[in-house]
Amino acid sequence: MSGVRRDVAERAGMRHGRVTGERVMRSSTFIGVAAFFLIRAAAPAADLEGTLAKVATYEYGQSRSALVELAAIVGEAMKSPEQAKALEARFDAFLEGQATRDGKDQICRHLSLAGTEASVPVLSKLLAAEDTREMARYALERLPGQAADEALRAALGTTTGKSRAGVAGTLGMRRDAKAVPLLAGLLTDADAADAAAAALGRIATVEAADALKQAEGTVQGGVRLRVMEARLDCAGAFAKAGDTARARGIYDELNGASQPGMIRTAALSGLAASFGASALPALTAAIDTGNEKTRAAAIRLLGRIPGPEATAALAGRVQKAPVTARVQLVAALGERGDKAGAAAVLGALKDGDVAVRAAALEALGSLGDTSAVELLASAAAESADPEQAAARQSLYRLRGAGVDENIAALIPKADGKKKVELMRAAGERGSTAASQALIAAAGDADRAVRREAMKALRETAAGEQVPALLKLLAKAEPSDRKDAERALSSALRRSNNAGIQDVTAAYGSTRNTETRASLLLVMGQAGHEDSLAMLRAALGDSNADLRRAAILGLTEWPTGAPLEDLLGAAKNPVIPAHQVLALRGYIRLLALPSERSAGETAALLGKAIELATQPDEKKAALALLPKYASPEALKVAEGVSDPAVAKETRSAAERVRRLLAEK
Amino acid sequence: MRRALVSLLVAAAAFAQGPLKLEPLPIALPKPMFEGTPQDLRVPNLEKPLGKPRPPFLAPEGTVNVARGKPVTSTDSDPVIGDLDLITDGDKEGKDGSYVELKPGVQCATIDLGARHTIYAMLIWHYHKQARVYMDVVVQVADDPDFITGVKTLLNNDHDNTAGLGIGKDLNYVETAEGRLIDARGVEARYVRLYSNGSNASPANHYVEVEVYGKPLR
Repeated sequence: MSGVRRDVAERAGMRHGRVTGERVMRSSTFIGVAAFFLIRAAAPAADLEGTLAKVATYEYGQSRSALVELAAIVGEAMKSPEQAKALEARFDAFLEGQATRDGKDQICRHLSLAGTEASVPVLSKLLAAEDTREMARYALERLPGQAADEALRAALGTTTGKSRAGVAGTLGMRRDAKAVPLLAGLLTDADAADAAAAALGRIATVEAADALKQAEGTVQGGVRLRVMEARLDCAGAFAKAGDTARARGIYDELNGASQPGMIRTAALSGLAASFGASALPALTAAIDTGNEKTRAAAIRLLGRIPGPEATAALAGRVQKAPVTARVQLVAALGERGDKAGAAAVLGALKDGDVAVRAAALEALGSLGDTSAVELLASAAAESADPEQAAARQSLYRLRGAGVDENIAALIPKADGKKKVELMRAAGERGSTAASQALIAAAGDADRAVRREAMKALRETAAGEQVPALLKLLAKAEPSDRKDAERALSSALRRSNNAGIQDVTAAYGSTRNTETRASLLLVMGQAGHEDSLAMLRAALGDSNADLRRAAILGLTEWPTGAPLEDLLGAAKNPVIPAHQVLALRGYIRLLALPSERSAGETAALLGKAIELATQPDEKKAALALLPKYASPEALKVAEGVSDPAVAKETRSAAERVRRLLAEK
Repeated sequence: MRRALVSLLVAAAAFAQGPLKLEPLPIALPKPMFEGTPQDLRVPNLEKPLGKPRPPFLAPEGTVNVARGKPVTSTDSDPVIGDLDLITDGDKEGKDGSYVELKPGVQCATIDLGARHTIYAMLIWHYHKQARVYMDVVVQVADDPDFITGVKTLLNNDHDNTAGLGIGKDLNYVETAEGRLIDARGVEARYVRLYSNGSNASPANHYVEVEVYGKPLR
């Protein structure tokens, strides 16, 4: 035994003996020494005694290192029954020795997980003392065996106030059936009645349920509610255990019309959860006779019970119920998704209340099928919010065979707003079935229809639609041109540029400047290498509009491939405005991810600044320099002397310097 | 106060050409709807909230929102949420479905008013479901779609040229259902462009609505 260990053993056992008496001293010393030798025989390498010495002085707020060590020791000891037993004995000795309250608290926490009946005597002593009662109860709550139950039952008779409530709660957590008479006696205790009721509900034996039922008639106020809640707990436990008759009896009693609303709702919930379809009479009665809250709960619960009977029960009440209940009934029918409820929902569409009609339109989204398409489209076109919003959403989420095809078929037949709603739905649904109908609608005389068709095509068109979209672009009015460009770009993007050959071919075959300019922009956005040559060639076109479009198209390019082309266009502009656009494009492409070093990009930004003839492009290039912080970037910033961009130059230089200093 | 004085000066200049009646802008505000957990609003150069409703803004009689229904283009032609049309569709509500979300980073939206207008004021709602601050907000007008001719900056709160449009002196501000009112001082232009660079809550950019109050130039 090392000197340190001997000293700790003395402190933990013998010194304690001097304080509390000869008998205890002998016992503690024996346990301590026995524990030490047992641990030494099979102990892990960790220094248990050294750790315990630190734990003995631990107080909350101090370093937790000793607690971490202790947890490691416990974890190691739990691998071997012998070591665990020895450690438990050592912990018991510790609890009887000199240590801070917080140190003992830590040991109790470990005993709650690693302890056995062997620790009950020591914990019982702690249970008797005011300042250690909670930690002992914490440990006892999880200890296996009847000894802990007995100790707690005994404590029920010796404690008062909150402590007694705590002990009652612990007995409940341990589901100690033998404690039922004692707990029942506490149902009239001012401090412990709530805890006793909860404990009885958790123990949930027949005796506990009887005691609670008996008490329900005598106690008042909040305690009565706790007793009722505990009875509900008992009912739940009975149902789980298969004693359905007893469970049903309790639920039926607590579902009485005179019971408090929250209790009745909980009883209905229990009935629905435990008895399913056989709870239907209780739930429908609550819908028919309950107050607003009970009715709402009953509708919700009924909506979750599977089977045609529940659907019929909900559907059969839609017409007769008050307005709020009608909304709830229709919503419940929608949520359960049973098509048998569709007729009642369709009937609710004619309801005089707008909220009911909106709920019905919303429910159709899950109950309806392809036959609901036209109805929903009409409602979306002809009504206002909240009906319009509900009809639109339902049209967007309607499922089933033939829905998309029906929408596509109705688009050419519909007029005005209804046509617009159908096209919008096709777009929201990403319905490829509607692509041809949308293409046709994109040529409609009504601009609103054309625009909506183009918008929907952005969400639906793919490679197959590219030829048709090219034709639309070719004959697009100026006000529609942007929409047509966007639809074409989306189709290319969605098809991974599958139709790019059609685009380049169309560019080569058309002589219309506006169309060619649009195609250059589309090709730039697509960024397919097959079209880069055309964009480059267009930079030298004799037509200024095409040169401008080529610059804008290259500006949209997804990589830095056309950097030199844009720089060239900026160096040799025929029109000054094109120099500005080319520089802007050059600067944008420089900001794209690349394999260049920061210094190389900074140097290229320097070229842009040199070429810029007005402050705006210098500011744009200066803004990027900090992103490429490097000695080269600083050199570029320090080389700018234009007073029109002095503030921006100073700001860029300062930020680059700061970033370089941080590196 | 300064805004009111400027408006009066504009009005006075117009008055010199003939009798001119001023009237409050016909602004219809959306329903306030701050929702969710408030965001950290420790943003530099943040304007102190007015703490009361904004006073009426006076403009020449007959001034209306000339941006309603006008086409919008953007550096993000394929918005993450919504459509660019939402910016000028007249729906200023903060709810989902009323705003367009543009990609993160510096993005802009451009409104083509269709012809040159005298612009007296602009109202911008980026997103008012939360008290957010959008970064590097720059508002410009121009005579051409490329913003090369007649470019004028009406607001710029980019204090370090992050957006590359120069350093501005305007303060950052918190989005509310009142929108941000910009005094355009009778500037003449056809195109309006609005930049932003995300917000304190998200790197994405949003627009609920932009209103441009003015009159067509004869």
